[in-house]
Amino acid sequence: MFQRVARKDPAAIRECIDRFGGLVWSLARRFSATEADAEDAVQEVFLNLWKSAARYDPGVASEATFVAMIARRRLIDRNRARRRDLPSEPLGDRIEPARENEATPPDVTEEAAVAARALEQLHPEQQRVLRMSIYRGLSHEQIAQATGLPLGTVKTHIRRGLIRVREMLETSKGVST
Amino acid sequence: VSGAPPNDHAQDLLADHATVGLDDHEAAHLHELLSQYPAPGFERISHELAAAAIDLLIAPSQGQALPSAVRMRVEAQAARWLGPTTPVETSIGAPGARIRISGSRNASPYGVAARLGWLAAAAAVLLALAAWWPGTGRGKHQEPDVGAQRQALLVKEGTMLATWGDFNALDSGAVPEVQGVKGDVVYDEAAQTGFMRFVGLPVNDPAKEQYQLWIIDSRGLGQRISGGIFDSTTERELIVPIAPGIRTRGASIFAVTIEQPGGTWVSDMERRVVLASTK
Repeated sequence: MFQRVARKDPAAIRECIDRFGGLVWSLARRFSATEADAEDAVQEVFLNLWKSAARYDPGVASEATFVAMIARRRLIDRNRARRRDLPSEPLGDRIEPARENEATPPDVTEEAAVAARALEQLHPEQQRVLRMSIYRGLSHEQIAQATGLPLGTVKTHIRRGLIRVREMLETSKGVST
Repeated sequence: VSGAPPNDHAQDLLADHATVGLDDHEAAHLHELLSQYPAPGFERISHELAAAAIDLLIAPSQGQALPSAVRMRVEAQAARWLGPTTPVETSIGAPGARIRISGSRNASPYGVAARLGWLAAAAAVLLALAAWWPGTGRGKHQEPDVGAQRQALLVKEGTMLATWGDFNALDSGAVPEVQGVKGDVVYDEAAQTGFMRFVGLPVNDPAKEQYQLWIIDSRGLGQRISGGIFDSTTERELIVPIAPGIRTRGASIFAVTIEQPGGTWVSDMERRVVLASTK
């Protein structure tokens, strides 16, 4: 589908919206402070997605994972710009509760299934920090404040967790560095 | 150093890039660090991909649908990005006065044609031109470019959008005769106009049967309103204008049935095709 999107095939564009509109919307809602902000973000994400379609490599990731990656990039950049423009907001109830025992959804992509296996190998505290960072887009400082962990430990947990997931993805895809 | 992993500082920056983003200075520094580690595979499976994979553990389970209003904005943006409108085929009809138009409709010589402001103006101008242009031989009912008109309507405030689904709701009546048709309905109740878009609607023989749209508004199923009779000339994309027989008030359900040639005033809704609901 992304090859056709790159060629600006209107049917492929519609298919892209049909198939991934819900995913992009759920990511945008989670990363955005308001519904209006999420609506703007969805438009930006889809535009980026169409422009990036030629980069899609089915040997590296499923289409859904590719979409999530492009969406997260745009949403993180938007959040970063907002943090620069606005005073820091109180954490309040935005803190993600611990989800160490969350079951893996049955319909995840191959890459997400690998990620689930990788997360199972991490220490619970490491898992929690990684989830707070990735699911909620919280800054290292916010995570340190919420968990009481030193800032350096937060950074180390995130770094090591991502490296572990990445290593397992590389193994599953037959890619070695 | 080919194939060697980046140092801890580079790994920290890569993790930051994938989770909270980098400022310009950090991004330049990361670029410099990575240039020392030209490992080919390193660019293929990135920290960003790993973060996306973790994110997908929770994202699909949230099961949210893209709201109609947001989808309209995305489609309008797609129209701007795509440029000139794409080929469409359309049929329009009403009892006793069926008009068919088919063929490519992307003849605009202007690359900016899909810019929505232009489209709205162009649609109006083309409609006016079609009414008096000599020698076309197509008559005053010709619709110049339904694709462009639909796109213009999509971005108009108050326009409703609903996606077709199989006609297995509404009541406990007959099973759908046609299944798997995709597409949507765009309807502007204030203007009493709109468009149906179909993909996969079987081509019909107008001598034997025709499709008919029914609009159900606040008056309920018992007083359903005919939205027009039409033919499918292609199973690829087909865009059909909506022409309600009487004024709708609070339209919320759009249903397509198969009827006798020329349509019917009162359908038994036995031969069901697709249904779309804004509720």
